[in-house]
Amino acid sequence: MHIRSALCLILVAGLGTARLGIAQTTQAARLFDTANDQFAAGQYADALNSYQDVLESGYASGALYHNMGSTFYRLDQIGQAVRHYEKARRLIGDDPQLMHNIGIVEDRIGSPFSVLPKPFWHSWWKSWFATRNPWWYLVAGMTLYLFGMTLYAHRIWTQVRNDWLRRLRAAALAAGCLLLLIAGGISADRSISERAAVVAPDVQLTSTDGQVAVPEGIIVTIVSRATSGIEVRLPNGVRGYVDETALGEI
Amino acid sequence: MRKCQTTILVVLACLARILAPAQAQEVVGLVSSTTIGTEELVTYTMEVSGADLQSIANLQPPESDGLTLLSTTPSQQTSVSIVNGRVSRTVGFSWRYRPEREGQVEIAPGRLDIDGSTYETQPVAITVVPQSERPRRQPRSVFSPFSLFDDPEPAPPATIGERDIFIEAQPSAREAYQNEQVTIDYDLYFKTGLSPRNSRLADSWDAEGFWREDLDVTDRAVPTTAVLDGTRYNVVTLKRVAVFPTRSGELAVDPLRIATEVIPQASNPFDRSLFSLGYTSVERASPTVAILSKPLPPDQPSGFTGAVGQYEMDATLSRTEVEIGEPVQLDVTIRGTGNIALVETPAIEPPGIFEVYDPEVQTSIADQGDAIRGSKEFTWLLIPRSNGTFVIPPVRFSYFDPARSRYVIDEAALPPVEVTGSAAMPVAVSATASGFPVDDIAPLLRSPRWMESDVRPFHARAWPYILLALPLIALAGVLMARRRAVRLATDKQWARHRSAHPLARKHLKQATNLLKTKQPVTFYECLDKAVMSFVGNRLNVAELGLTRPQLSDELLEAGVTRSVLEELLVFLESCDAARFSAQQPSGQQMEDDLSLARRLLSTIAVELEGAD
Repeated sequence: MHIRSALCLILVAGLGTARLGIAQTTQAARLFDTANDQFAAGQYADALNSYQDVLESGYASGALYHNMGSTFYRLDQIGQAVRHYEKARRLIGDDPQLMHNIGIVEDRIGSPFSVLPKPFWHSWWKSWFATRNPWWYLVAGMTLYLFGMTLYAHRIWTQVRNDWLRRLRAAALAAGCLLLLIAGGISADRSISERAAVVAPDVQLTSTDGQVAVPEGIIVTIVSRATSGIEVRLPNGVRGYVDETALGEI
Repeated sequence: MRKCQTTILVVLACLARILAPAQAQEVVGLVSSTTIGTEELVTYTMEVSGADLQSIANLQPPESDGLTLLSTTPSQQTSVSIVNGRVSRTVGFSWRYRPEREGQVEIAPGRLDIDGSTYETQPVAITVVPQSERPRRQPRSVFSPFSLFDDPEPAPPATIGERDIFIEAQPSAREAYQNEQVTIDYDLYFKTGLSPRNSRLADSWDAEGFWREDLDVTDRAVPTTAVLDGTRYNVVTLKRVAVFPTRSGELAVDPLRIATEVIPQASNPFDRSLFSLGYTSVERASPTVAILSKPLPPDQPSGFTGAVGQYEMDATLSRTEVEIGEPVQLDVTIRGTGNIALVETPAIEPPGIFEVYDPEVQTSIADQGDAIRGSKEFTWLLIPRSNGTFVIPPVRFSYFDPARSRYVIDEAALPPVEVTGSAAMPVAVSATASGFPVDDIAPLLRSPRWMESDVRPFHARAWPYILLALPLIALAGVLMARRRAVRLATDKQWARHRSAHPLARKHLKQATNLLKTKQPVTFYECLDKAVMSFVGNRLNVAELGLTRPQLSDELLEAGVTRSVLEELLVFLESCDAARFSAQQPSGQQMEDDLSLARRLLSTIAVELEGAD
């Protein structure tokens, strides 16, 4: 009787939470559509406010960040445009439409810095995993992991030796652990921010070799944070300090 | 023939009289040679142009230092010439001097009055050298109007001296600000009677530290005349260049070096075959031009990009009322004197709703005249992306005016732009292969996949790690359960030991239930079983058929104290009595016995544990 009551309570709570979540998503979608209409009417400042309202409602998406980037571009805030396009990129990857816009913005920035080559695994990781949903990897990895553990428990309990079961157990555990590692990597990659866009004009980077002018919209890598400023690395590898207010984390 | 010549002379004389007042009056002092031998004579001529003979008064021979005037009475010559239809008359008064010594001598300025005005010539320096070192002379012409005064002695063959033909470099300024324009004229001076030809650059010309722009010089310039140190020269401008110092400090412009061919021109064309044996190649170089470049003053205004000169700017908009998406053209023109080619694009700051394209730049430079001047036109295309009335801030252009030695900020205001209409999406001229605009961003994305924006990533949460640990814990449990099961099956003593407490608790529970239902026989049977099975399991002995002495021995051997043993034996006796006597025990008695059984079991368990 007690168990039945608890189950009912859990069911009711779950349905209530789901209903609340659907209502909130609907509100976010409505705000998103409003912002899109304002953008289409050329009311970019209003559109930006509406997009911000979506974010404040607790929801985000790659399309939202993409559209915010386009709005900033129309408002001639190139640094913020780059920042939000890169935020979108973290969620939806190298979407052709997004990449086209990034190319347009980069052409406009005209970066004076050459770009150092990335490590060999970087592009491989980005193209294969970084843009996927980590939850799928988590669920699949956990399933295989539990399956492998179950087989192992069966082996312990029954003491039955079977080569095929041993191989199946090892394969399930290995695949499960690998998928779980990938899921963790994707999750960390998306949440740990080590890049930032220069969102202010006429930013000076103070390096050991002197001052370097950094155009608005350049993406830098954050190396460390200090009281005197943020140490960043330019695309060409030059390191130096810039004012924290000049950067917008991606 | 003679009559014709007379007629021509009369006509010329009339023309000369008619044109005389219009001709500028000029008095110059000329010498026959600036370098003479100790035994040579030098003729000094005061040449008066544009004046009647009758208007000349107070004519005196100029004084000299190191020279002796031979006669105070000058010889007089008059000549009329027509050049390019222009008639000019010249009157010459000549005196002859004899050198007194070697070295530098000088003829002081000569003076005369023309129509009441006093004119003065420049002093002339003459170098007197030993007779054997005197320069070679041009052969004397019998038709020369001044031939009577020439040196009657035969002269060595003609040579071209350094001062017969040379190049002068004349900069417009010796000091200039950085990026200020300085014009340098390179003039070729050659004595009358010399005819240079095939002039060409003999060496490369450079001006390190300068930006330079050549100014146009007429290729076939008509030579002008100039008197320099008592010698009349023809002057031709070879090159005119505008230089702009690119850095401050002492800068030098290389000499202009030319090679040319010169032929001494005889006064009489018929003499040429006798004296002019051909052209002589000569090479001349101008002096190096030193220019002191001064740095620009500090406190440069914002937006100053280095423009120096005199400029003016205007800015216009092609239209002030547009629909969203229609282009507005902003034209900014900067014109003036200076290095217009290096004038940088002025900054414009239209509101963010304008999409701004890179400007088209058209430069027009005029290289005629004495300085580089021109205009530079910047044309921006502004496309409004929102409606409303927008004010474009004035366009500012800062430059340094060297004439006023200060910075000038020129501003050009622009009218507000009224943008009307709505829903104007950028119209792409063409599209990429993917269908996106070539020069514009792609349309919005409209299918979001929502996720919580402030959600913590799962790698930062605890439950994934709990999920990972649970199977491991379960696996450990399975392993332990398996081991326990195996031991229970293989180790009887351990199994009985493990089951002693549970079995005793089971019997005591049964006894408790029987106490409630008032079944004394079965109740005491359960109490007996509880105690005996516990002792049997703990001591690993078969409790069935175990006699009291055997029980006593086993317990004593296991470490149970005698008092407890005796209490146990009494309890067992009472249990037997209750089971087999006709008188049933009371409920209170049964409860007391149940409590006693529990206490005994606990005591025995403690003592056995202590003995282990």
